[in-house]
Amino acid sequence: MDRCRELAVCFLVLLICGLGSVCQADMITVGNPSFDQDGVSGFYSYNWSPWKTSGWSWLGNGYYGGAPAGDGWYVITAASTWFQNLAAVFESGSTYTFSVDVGTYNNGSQSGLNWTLFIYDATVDPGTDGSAAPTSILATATGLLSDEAVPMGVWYNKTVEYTATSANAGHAIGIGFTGDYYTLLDHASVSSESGEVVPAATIPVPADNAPDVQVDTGTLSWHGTTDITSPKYNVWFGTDQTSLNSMATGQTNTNVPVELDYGIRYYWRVDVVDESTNPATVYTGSIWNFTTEAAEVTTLKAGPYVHFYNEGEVTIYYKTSAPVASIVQYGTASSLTQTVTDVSAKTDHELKITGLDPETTYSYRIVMNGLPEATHEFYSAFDAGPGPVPAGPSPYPVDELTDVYTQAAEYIVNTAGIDKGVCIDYGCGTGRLAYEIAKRTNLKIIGYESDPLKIAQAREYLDQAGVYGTRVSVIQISTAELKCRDFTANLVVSDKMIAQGTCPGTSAEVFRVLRPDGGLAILGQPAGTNPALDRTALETWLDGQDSNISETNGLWAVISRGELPGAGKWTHHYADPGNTANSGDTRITNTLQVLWYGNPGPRYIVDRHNRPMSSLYNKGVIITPGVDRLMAYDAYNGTRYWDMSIPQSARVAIFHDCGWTALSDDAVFVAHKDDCARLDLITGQLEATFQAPQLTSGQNRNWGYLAVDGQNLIGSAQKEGASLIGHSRAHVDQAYYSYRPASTSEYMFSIDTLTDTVNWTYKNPTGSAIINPCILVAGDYVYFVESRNSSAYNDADGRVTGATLTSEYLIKLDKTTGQVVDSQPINLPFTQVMYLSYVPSRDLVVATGSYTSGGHVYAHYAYHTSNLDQAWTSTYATGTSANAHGEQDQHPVIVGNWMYNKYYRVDLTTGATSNIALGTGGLATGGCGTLSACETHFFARKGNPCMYELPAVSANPLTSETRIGCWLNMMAAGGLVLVPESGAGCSCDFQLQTSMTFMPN
Amino acid sequence: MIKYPNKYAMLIFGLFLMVLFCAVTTAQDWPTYLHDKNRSAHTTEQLPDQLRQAWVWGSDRSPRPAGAESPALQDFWQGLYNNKSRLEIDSAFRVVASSGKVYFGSSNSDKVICLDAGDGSQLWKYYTGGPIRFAPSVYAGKVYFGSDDGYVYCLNADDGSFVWKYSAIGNDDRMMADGRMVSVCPVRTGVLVDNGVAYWGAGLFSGANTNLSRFICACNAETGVLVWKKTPPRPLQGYPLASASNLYMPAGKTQPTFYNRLTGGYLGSIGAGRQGGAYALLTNDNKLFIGPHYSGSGSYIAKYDASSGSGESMAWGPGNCLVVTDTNSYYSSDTKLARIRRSDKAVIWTVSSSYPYELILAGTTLFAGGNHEVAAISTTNGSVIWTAPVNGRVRGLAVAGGSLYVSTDHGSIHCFTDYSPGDLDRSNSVDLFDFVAFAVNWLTVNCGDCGGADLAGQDGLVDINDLLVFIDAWLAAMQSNYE
Repeated sequence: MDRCRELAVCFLVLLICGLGSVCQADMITVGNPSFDQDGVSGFYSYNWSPWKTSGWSWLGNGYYGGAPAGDGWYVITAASTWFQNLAAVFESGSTYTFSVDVGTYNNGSQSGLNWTLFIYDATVDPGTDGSAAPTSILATATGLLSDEAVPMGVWYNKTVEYTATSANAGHAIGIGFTGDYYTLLDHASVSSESGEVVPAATIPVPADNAPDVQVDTGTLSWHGTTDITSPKYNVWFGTDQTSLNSMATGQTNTNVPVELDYGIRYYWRVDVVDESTNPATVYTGSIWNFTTEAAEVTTLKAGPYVHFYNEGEVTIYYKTSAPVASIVQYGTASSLTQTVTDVSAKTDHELKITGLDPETTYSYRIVMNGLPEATHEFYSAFDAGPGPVPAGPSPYPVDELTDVYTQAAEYIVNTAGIDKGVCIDYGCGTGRLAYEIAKRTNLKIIGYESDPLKIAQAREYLDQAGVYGTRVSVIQISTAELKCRDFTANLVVSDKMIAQGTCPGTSAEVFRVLRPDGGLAILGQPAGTNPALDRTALETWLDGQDSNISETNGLWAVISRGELPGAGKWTHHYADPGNTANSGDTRITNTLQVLWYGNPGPRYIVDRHNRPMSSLYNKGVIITPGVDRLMAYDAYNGTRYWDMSIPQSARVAIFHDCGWTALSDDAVFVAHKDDCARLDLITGQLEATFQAPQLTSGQNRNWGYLAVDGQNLIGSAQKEGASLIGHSRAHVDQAYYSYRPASTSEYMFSIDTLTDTVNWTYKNPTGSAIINPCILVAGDYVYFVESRNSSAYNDADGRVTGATLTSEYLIKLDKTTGQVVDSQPINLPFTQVMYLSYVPSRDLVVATGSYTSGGHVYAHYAYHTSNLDQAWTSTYATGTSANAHGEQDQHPVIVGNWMYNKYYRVDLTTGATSNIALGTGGLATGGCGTLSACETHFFARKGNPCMYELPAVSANPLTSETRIGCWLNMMAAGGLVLVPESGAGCSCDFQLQTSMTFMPN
Repeated sequence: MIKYPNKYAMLIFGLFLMVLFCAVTTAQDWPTYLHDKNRSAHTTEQLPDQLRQAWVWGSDRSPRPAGAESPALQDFWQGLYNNKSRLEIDSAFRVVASSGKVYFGSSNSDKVICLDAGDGSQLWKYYTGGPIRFAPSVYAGKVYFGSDDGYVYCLNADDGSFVWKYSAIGNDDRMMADGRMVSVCPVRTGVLVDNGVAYWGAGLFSGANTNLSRFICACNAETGVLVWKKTPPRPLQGYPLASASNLYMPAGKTQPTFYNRLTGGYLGSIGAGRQGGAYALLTNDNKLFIGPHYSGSGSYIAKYDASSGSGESMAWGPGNCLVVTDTNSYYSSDTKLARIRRSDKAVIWTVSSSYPYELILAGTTLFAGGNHEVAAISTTNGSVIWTAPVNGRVRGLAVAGGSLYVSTDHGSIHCFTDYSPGDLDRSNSVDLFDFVAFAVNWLTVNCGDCGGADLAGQDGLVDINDLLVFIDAWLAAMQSNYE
């Protein structure tokens, strides 16, 4: 019995030892320090080799009085990752445990400490000391110590385990730790236990726990096992790790295709199937997971812009933040039943809608990723001109001249490059050239002919072709005189020269009718035409005209007409970026005549009492901003070039703000929300958009001030709502009466339009409210007035009253670098209105404005641009407190050495004021509207449009038939007096509500 | 055995039918815009309840109105909203009709066109040097109209041959206006011809700094010799109206003015302040209706004493246009039609309506114009008795010679007329199907209208007399391609 008991005990001991040897973990050496260097205190070092770090924090040796005696620990001094590549290697089937005691440094309870332990394959990726943590992570354990209310000196043992596979066999073992600032670590160790080899798929792609996986990944893949021969795989996939769906069964490939969606955590598992056994053995794999990228929210980045050019159709432009298909829904009576689409994904969108009914309101909206944007409207009426030539054969006989006319028209149209406008055919014969030109352009062609038979024939042919009248008309003349005003024709041609080889009328008459700033006469004949045009005869006829004669493609003479000498321009709201309200035109005389009249009519014009921005002029084109609609037309003959409908774009009460449209020589720049669009001046096509720089994430700023300076734009950024946009009775109230707020901006900037880069930004470090009507560009500098009153710049929407715009500074920036060149505290008393103007003759900037003290008082503060020192100051008391007709709102005009206001003028040398000597009829002290000027006159609404010769200020009414608007609505430019329709909602007793232009008689 | 009447009896019977037909239809002319110099929009000619489209004349291009971008829709300051255009004068090719011919002017192709009223074929055309914006007037065998080339023309109505023309300024100076190269003094009114004198207005601007002028003119209608020419205080835009002594000239945006017909002497303006409009109607009892006037709740028509220009109250507020007879007034607004008894201003009926644009009265039937539709409306109760689709908004209506003419803002002119007597099934053709319908009722008695087969005499009997009418209609349809 004793022998059996001994044997049993031995067996049991052996058994226990054997089990222990199976269960007892082997300890792996962890490189010094193991977070376990007792007895050493106050030693911190960045480099704790062999521990490596992906960050900069110190892993320091600490010994704190409150710590367990004799037991040192290590502290992480910033959130970071520490890792170590061990000498030991993985054995397939063995389980490795990395253990660390974790605690906190602060004396007292610490919360919010994140910790992560991980085991990685150090052969696949050992990490880079100082920069990159290992990425081939095999197992992680993570947590938050705040759940455990950790006071100083309390330790929690954290572990992570990993069972190696054949994929890891022989690879170096890596261990790592990630912790927050002030995490304490102690007693790190790694142990291993041998185990059964389990065939398994490894190295999943996407990696386990991978974030931001792209949805177009397309496949899931893994490394197959080599622990069995001919392994097969079952794949499980889903969004619920407790309920995965079978994706593939018994496949040999180590990948499966997959479709993913945005922002979802997916789970998947690959089981290994060994079919060598019967039944087959299935080794269940680990569940991996990954998370796909968040869907990018596509937003509208610019627009929409609705472009009118041809009859019955519009082109809608817009830009999106990400590529999407172009989709616009539209319809009438607010019913969006029709759609135009371009399925190709893009960010710059352009869609055309055709077949529009006349005089109809259309609703439309953009759709992105199935989500509709806001609904907008446009009205379809647009004076596109005569419309296309109806399809069909030529009404003219096919003869020896057929090719001649075709060649001539091709040459003329290609040389001229003019699509819209007035074309005069001097000696139009039977209208064959006119017909060919009409087919190739949108020109209105007016033929002049003396032969009644040819006139009758021309009318019949052209009517048969469906073009007689609005497209091509024929006027009988009996002499060389063309019956039309000067400057009318964009293009002059001559059928007579082509068909008969003789010159029509006189070349002086041709030049007389040519439109300035780009008018062309292209006169001649294709090669081989009979009878041939004689060059000598042509030169004789051209005598005195500046022309170019060419014998390419025949014999052709081109007469061009540039800008009229002394013609002014009006490219910004107050004429120029210096706010002089003086076009510089020197051609205006005291006797005028109407050059043309017609559309734009009042339908699109902002109701005058809302006081919108002025029209602009450059290169023979007038741009009139209407109700969310820009209109472009020829200043010399009224031809409508294009319209652009831009929702919520038109600012009102503009004298408390700044212009939002400006012109260069070939483009129109339009500020709309946070963008500025560049439109071609002649076609209106959208060429580019530029976004105002956004300085603070999450704070969207709109484009405020706009000035064109060569290839650069000078702008300001303002809060949404800083400008008053819309038109209503309520808006009218904001445009009148006392103490209305001014629009202000937060910062200035400059953008290079050629490279679409921000040249510079300026923002006062402590904050300021830049006063929009007090910004100008002159010479190499930008000048503006800003208020550093915190109540001003912290205003919620950026609309600030004069009383709050205190602590003013006059700032001078270098317009190339944006650097502050000079800054001067100034004290302006303005509570009603304030402006800043540049005085070229004296190189001053003058702050002008008004306040009310026993009546409205205007004050002027002039500063030298060189050093911003005050040059002089003066005041003028109007003697009136009336405030319902702009009495206190007047903007000055700068003419030479004088500054004019409706009530008085200022000597810009001394600041001395004097009443204006009122001429016949006087200049009404009441009456809405402000002055505009050229070098010789200024213009105002004295009931009806009126001009005043300077310096006598004698009144000279233009016409009693119309009334203009309530701010700045007529100007001298291009050698003309422009009176675009601006009365709009005015129902006063006047006869003609249409646009008109006057020229010196 | 049925005894058929002999040929003489048939002939007499045929004459009787002819007289009866004429008496029933009382075909008339519509010689000027809205029928007469009062712009009454009223003819006594009665059309059948059901009409068919006989033809349509179309243009590739819509009319080019001079005031296309007007009006401003509101005046916020004055609180005037939903304003309508005061220059609604040339948005369609409005027609006049006389003696089987239809005349209209084109602002697209600068000519007057004469069409055959029966089939719409062009009979003649006459070019001028500019757009023609107003319907011509036919008077004593002549056609009168003005053009933006500055001339008023007189042509022979039959063949369009030239008689005379007159320019108020006597020259052909030109300028760009409303997108066209026109006279510096364009004719911007219709031509009213009455008692041998033609009246019109020309030119819009005046003043030293315009270098332009305007006139009101009167010429001998036969010879074109000037009777008088004056400078009006306001531009003249629209169709003139005339009483026995006065001439009334709408101005467009502002108040109309009126003049002595004999001398051209200025007598005053109608209304005051912010009111005006090119729409005008003169009643036989010397009341003048002008519009659209503006208000806080939309546009309306106002009433004035035509002698003094002073305002008078109206029985019914809103309105775009109206027709006034001796006993009743018929108003059309954006959403309603109404009939008012003039003696006591009692509202006889008010009905909802989707025909806000034009209104005329022909016999006992109102014709009203809507958007892509025209309607016939009973004066008895306002019910719609017939409609037909048209191409565009209806901007012109006229009734003459048994036909209704509808002019739209798409440049179309639709002609609607009676169905052929033989078109029993109203299929727009006279064919075997109609004969079958006739045959089914052959020799029936006391059958009412007998399925439409009782074509002669309305005697409730379908016999040889009705057959003769049917045969005539069938033959006529084959000859004219009735459809």
